[in-house]
Amino acid sequence: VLLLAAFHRRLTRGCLRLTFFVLTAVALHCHPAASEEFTPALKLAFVSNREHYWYPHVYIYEHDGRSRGRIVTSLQPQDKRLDHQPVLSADGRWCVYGFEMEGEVGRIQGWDLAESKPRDLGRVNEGSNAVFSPSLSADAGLLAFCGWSRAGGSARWDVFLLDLQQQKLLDLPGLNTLEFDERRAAISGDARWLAYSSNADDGAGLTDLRLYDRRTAQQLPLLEVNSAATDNYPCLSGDGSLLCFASDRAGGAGGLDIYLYDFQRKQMVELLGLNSPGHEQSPSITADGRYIAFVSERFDGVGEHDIFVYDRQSARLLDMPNLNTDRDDYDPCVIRIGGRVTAGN
Amino acid sequence: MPASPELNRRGVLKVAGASALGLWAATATVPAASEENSAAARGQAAARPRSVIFIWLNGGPSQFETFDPKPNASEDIRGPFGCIRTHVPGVLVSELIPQLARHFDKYAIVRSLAHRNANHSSTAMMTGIEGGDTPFGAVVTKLLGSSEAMPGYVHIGSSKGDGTQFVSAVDNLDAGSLGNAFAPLRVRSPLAGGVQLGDFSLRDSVPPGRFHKRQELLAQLQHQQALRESAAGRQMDQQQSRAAEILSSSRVRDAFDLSREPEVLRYRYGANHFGQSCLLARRLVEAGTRYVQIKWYHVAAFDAWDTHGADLPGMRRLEQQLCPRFDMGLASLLQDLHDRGLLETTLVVAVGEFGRTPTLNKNGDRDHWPFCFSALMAGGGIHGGTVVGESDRKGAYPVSDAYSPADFAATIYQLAGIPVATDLRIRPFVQDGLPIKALWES
Repeated sequence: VLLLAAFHRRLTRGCLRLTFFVLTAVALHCHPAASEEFTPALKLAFVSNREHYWYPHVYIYEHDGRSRGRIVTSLQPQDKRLDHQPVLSADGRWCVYGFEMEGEVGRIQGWDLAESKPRDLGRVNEGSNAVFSPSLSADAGLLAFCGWSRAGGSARWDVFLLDLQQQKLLDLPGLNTLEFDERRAAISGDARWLAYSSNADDGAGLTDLRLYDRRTAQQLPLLEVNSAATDNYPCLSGDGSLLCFASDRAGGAGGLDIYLYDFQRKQMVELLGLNSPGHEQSPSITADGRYIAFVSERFDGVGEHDIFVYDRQSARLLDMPNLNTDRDDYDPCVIRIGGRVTAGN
Repeated sequence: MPASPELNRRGVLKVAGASALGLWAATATVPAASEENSAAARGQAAARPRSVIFIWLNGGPSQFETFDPKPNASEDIRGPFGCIRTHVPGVLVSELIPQLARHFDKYAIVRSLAHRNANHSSTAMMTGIEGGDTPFGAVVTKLLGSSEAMPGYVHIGSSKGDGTQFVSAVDNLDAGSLGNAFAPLRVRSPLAGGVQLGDFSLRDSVPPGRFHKRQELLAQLQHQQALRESAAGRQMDQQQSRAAEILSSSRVRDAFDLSREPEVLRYRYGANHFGQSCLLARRLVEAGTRYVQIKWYHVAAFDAWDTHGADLPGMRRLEQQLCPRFDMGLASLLQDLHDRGLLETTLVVAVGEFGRTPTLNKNGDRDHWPFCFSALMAGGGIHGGTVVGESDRKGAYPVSDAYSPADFAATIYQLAGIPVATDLRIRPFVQDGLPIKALWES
């Protein structure tokens, strides 16, 4: 390219320069190396109504970490089925998502992205009541989810943890309550921590975030994190040291905003330029904590619900071409690929 | 084949007489006969708002997750969401509507509406009569007229014929027995590049000066014929004139142009269909439109309030899409109307076709329930911070003051400025309904 550029500068006549420039651009564009240049650095699973207004489906998108990106596949779209809340394993091979056939209860399904086929998740869909809100450990060995009035739990929403290999529900002593709802479970990549939302009456607000340490079987009320407003949509970094969530607390940019709490520094982390006066919600953070994908309603978006990805290192939103449509795009899960892969969402 | 320019220019006026333009004109030229009656009845109604903003929450919103939570109910009834205190002791609303909780001083809640139809096709809450086909907007516009150069009745949202699945009453209702002259001007969306006003925008090739010359020419051509015609014919001629006024009016175009609002205010309403619909409604009311009807998103079961499901079609849609948009848009509308001094003269109503079941289903969500549900009413002299009616401990049935759709209709008409007790023209539309006076007499 440098040689071509040097030759280009030596051409003196305008028309020759223009012709050479155009031919060079076409040649570079058509060269196989140009299309192979795309090296994915981020992978997103998300839901979109782009193909069917009534039945949203799960799509997989890859991005080079700079400004290029593309949809790579969608997961077995099925008529009269609404898919939602996909999550990925750390290596990007496994995708687990919730779905609901029209008129039936909510279920959870797995998908092998390498072989493009479903993965049987076994006991997760036991019982006649709904399950939803799946979350995977980094190695896809453990599946956290929420169940409504499920055997072994209370008559309300509870968090469950299933060992997919052993097909065994793991005990979570002290996490669920009989009277209140525990929902929106998010497991850390190392599977030690479970973040979830709770409406228990001993919290700071109405819906609060809680953190459960599987090693000590203790539940932490996160008094330093929660507010008197609604705090919801938790997700954890790979080692659980960062908690990302949405809240409509006072002092935000407007509506629901995204917040990030650092457990090691015991303080909120500023996310300069992330929030807007509109609603931001449904965050997903990469295992290393660098990227945060989220949903936002903005006038400069493509549709109403669009997905954005924030790079904490450069404190800016990435350009995400070919991701959003004029229909709703939401429920993102983001992982890093091709780089450090030690834990997932 | 492209139409000739001559046909286009003439066609503009021809079409205006028979199209929606002409129809708005018809509504505008109806004498405000009720004004005299209204004057006579002054003192009976709490206020005489000249405008109504009617928000149709198609699908049937859950009263439990909005305006009538039951935090102390049993586990099979109580949902997963908490409650927020309002400034009135003892009055709680759902945590999903925090901004509306803060603005409770500007609106009232009716918690004991009831009827018997659990189908989305029910027209009761849009007409006051089960099976009725004449929506409030048509009646209000017919009886009160529209004295300003604005369309009198505007519907914002999807409609019959634009690809919507017809599962909501609002899609099929035009003007019923009153005839198409009182059908609404339908605006598909305030988003997507702005409201499309092609129907009443002048073509680029027809500058206003030429348009008015053509108008004069048409008037001359029709003069002789109009003299020979009946009174109805002359009225049509007046409608054409009115249509022409609207066609050439920058005021109308400006009223529909949301880009004239500061971005900070647009964001305050929410960067979404519903929020911008509320903002457009405020602009229209401000410009003189009598009745604005906002329809929530398009399809009851898939993007509206028909939340039977566990996740996306249910509880999560409530907390992720429905309530945040509803809360932000409506709270901003009330605040904005208040700030501009318009709330006293604008009745704001938000209701769906019914409520949701007290008992949670297998998805942990709720099905259709018309036997007891809630509505928000504000402005027009309604006392903010008021709760009217009460549901039982389960939220299943009214324990006192059950209000029928006819009562609801009578309340809207009364507060819109039509004296229900004395104006006999309103009786077919309210039957035995009585205004809910507790909204303004307490």
